[in-house]
Amino acid sequence: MKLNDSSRSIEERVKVAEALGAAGDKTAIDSLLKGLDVRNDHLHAAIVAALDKLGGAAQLFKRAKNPSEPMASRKLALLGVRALKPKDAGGPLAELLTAPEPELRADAALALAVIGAADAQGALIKALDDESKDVRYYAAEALVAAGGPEALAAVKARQAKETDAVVKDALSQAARRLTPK
Amino acid sequence: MPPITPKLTVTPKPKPEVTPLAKKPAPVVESPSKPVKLFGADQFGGTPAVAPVASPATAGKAVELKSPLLKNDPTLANIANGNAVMNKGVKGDSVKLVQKALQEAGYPLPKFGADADFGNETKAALQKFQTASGLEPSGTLDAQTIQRLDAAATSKVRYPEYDKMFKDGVLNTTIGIGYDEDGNDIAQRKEIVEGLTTRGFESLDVANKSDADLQKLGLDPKTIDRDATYYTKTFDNDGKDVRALVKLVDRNSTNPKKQFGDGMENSELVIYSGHARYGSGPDFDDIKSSKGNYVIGQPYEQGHVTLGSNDLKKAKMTDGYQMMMFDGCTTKNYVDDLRAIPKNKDASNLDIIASNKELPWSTGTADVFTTLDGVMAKKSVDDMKSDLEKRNDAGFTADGFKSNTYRPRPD
Repeated sequence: MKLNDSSRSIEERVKVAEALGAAGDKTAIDSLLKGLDVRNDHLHAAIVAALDKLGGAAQLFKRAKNPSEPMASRKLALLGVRALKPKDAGGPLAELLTAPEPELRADAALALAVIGAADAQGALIKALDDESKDVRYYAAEALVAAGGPEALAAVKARQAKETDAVVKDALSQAARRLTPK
Repeated sequence: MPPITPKLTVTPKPKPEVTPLAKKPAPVVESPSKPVKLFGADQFGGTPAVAPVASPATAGKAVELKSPLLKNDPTLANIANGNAVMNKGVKGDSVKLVQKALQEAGYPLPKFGADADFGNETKAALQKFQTASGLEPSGTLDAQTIQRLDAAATSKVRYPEYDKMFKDGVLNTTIGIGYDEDGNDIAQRKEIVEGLTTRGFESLDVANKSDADLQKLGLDPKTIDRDATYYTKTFDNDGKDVRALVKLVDRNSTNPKKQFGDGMENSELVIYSGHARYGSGPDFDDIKSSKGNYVIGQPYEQGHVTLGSNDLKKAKMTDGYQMMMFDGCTTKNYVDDLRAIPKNKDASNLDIIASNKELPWSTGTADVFTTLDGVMAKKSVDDMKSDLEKRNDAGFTADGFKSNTYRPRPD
């Protein structure tokens, strides 16, 4: 796929992304999502526009929730959600925080940290006690984005019992940022 | 001594910069026993530039220059064998070769480039090279200097100046993680904290440590930012403990631009991973905030940039040695500004690793640890560069390392 051929110029790859969006072929979604790994604004913008044309966030949530999709595609779909930043992402992402797969729960929490949905606060507070340390780490991040005194109290409560050094670090950072100056 | 016939192409200048011999004696290395015959600039009445010396610096076997750049030039061969020296004022192909060797060694000639004219800029660059090589900064190209320059141009393995980095027993490091609209930086911060923890680093709660506590750890309290997040561990350097102190700066740090800027000014090792923002500098800004990016130079194209005044121009960079690695898209665009703006920095006290093209997010954390691990293990920069290039399928520039004098000690 030319889109993800790093030997091609960004200009060429932007044109490919635009063409894939215009063609309306949903099988191109994974390739487009992989292209988001490149740290380039122009390619990023072209891919976001193409994803919008191919069904936008609704299509991506459908993929992320579909257990028959490969895990890599489901995770990529949540990367796409982070790029599209839909305003009504709180509900679907909160739902994914209860998915059986810890990778999806972690990516949902990360997406909430990026998008910042206040309506997911309750689900994120529960996620602070998730068995997966990755979920707990990103839940702490996302609670800062959600904000509020309940978030700070929940983070402090988790700090008291957390044993993982990396999650402790995230909780400590979250508490600092949530504490009123 | 065989006759010396330097092959110099001398082009008279309309306004020669050099002083006529009658007014100012030429600064040449003279033979104690024979009169010095002058070559080069005397053809246009200026200060002689290449002068023979009667007592070769190297007795016995002739010195052969080995680098492809310098080895075929008879004038430089004469100089290498102590039969002549080259001074300011000369012009020609031999000068151009020396200028190219200086540039390759990390001593840029930003104003005139390799113009085949041994002027003030070339002399100043040569003096800096001599100082970094432990030679007298005479500005004269003599046998020792050309041999060191040849070694720099020949050397296949280059190292950071580890002796300088570890001299005070602390490897002061700043790792900056640049802001990303999609939150890739949030994931990367987690990976870096995990990587540090796996490597035995521990969080250092500087906000609650007294000055005495920090001193017990071998740290100077004056260099510690109480608002910053640090991780530390000790590692072995030739039987002595060195404390690695890592300041981790990201979008959520307190005043990240200042924290990173302090690192740029003072840290021995600076690592940045994130968006390069088209050459404008490391970025900690979500564009709606006032966090800003650390402005190194003007952007090469339009994109997400919140430019303010140039931070590099305001920076008070340490005179000490620093190594910087910029992991982002085409960060080689930073190099020209880093070489031109700080007046007290050149290849003798600043080495830079930068990318030649776009890089992905997915390799960023591994790139950071290639550099941190590489420095703590005193790897060559070529090893680090090779790892970075393989992982990213992209070229990297290692700028300034050729002039370095550090070599691993034999076991």
